[in-house]
Amino acid sequence: MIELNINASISSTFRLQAELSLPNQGVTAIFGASGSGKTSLLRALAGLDHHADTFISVNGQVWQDEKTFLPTYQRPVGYVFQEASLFSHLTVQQNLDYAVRRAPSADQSMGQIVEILALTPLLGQYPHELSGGEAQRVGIARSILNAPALLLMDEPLASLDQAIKEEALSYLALLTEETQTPILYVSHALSEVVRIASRMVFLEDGRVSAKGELNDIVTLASPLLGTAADASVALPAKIARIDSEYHLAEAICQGHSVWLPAAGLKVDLKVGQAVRLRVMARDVSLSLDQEPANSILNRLPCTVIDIIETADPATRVVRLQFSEQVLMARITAKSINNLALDIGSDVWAQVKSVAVA
Amino acid sequence: MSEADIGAVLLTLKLASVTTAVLLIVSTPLAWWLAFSPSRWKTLVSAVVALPLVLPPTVIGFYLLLVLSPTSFIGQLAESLGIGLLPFTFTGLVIGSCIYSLPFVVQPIQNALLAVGKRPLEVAATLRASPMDRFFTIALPLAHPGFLTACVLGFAHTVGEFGVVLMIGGNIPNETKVVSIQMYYHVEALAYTEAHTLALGLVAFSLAVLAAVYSRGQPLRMQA
Repeated sequence: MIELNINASISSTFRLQAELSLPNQGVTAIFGASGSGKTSLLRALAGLDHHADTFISVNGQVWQDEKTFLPTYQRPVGYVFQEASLFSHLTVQQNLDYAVRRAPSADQSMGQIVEILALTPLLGQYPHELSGGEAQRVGIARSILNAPALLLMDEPLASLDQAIKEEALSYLALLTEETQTPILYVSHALSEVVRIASRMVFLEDGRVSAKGELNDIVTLASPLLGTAADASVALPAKIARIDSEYHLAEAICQGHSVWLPAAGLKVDLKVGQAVRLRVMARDVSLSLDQEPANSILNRLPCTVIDIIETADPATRVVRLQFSEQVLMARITAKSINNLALDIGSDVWAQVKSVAVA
Repeated sequence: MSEADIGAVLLTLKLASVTTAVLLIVSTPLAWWLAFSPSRWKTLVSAVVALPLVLPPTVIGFYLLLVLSPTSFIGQLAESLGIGLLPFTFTGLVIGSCIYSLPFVVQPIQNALLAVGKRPLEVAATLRASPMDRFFTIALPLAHPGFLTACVLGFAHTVGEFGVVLMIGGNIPNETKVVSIQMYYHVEALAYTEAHTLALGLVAFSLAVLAAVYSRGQPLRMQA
């Protein structure tokens, strides 16, 4: 359990007032716009900044209260900074060894982490010889090899360009499945968060404005979340079969079948594998009938929960109850009028494309 | 070279070595504090550290003479600690030289630590490295050119001092009579051949030291 209560003035105009209690497991995203206090929160948690009036306790151990202030090196916490920040006088191998030698126990296998993050060819190199993506992978491996009880990641992919970011993200997703280390992942990019987090804390102006299961939060009516142009949800599903003739995979989600592309993925899908399906709100359209005759493969029965206005006056985001999950559809206000949609209407969500998160 | 000249050279080397060693121990935490502390006293302390760059050595010598005198607090403290008299002794010279050469050791270390920055040290702290561990495994290796420059400059500047030594050291052979003083008395006595030997020796030494520092690509940035 992570419990924290911070009430600190970070600058003359900014105050961080966050009270949080989170289960210390899985990946929790700390999401918010730039300047919402995400990094300040992480630095306070790591003990890199010392604020008065702060209480932090992790797994029952008090890290900070009125009397206590555990210095960073005594907190079992790992930190991945926005820039990889490798030790420039040490090789990749030596950077990793630095973390391993100071780990309390060797419960993370160096070989496994090196393999997952594809670091073997880099071990003999110095940080200045690495690309941004490579350096960040080394930084992530280094943190995990120190065997932290809690890993803090501060926008680890923000300094990478888009193509490398995609690659790094798939490594990261793989890693979070393989290691048991709980992670707090700070980001202002919803697309990253949806792919790796299962829980989310939404920060606005230094305050926690929402927290909970990822899909409950990402569908909130906020310009940063549910009504953003790239709004999406992540649905848990299981691969049922692979259709090699059409290069598609069939996943079962909430008892319904969902088809997705099986070719061109970083990792091959396997039957029985648990996956997260990413569905963008703009890829979902709505119809009143099941309409079997069109090119869209995926049709899911839903009920309208809510209709939200967006920054664009022509567009609405419709929140849909899909069995136990929530979906979003980004459609025009005119369509809503034409279909006479209202809260409680039963509709078919036609999903144009689905990706594995 | 006469025996007195050789004695002066050896005394100078001893003074410079001891001064450099003491200064490294004193300056490292001071430079660390100046580089990383958010304290508002930093400006004032920086200015005090840089004072010897601009003050005439005679001013420093004059105040040291007063502060170290047997009737002063420090003089009495030294007496009761069994160190004995400070002015006109080697110990007194070391104290004077440390103050005189302080900025030449503090500033290169401070600049090197600033160039390394806080981040590598923060990273090491999150990898469970204690403060001492961080200093020896991260700060020192990354800032080592600054430490080298500091040693060389501290040593060379002590070899080259004159005014402060004259004020608080006098000219006791093998105790306070360093090369620059010895050379001064040669000139006074119109012994130009002996003066030439020492002068050329100092020029060659200083040139070699500065060339060594510059060849490492370390510009001398002193901020007074």
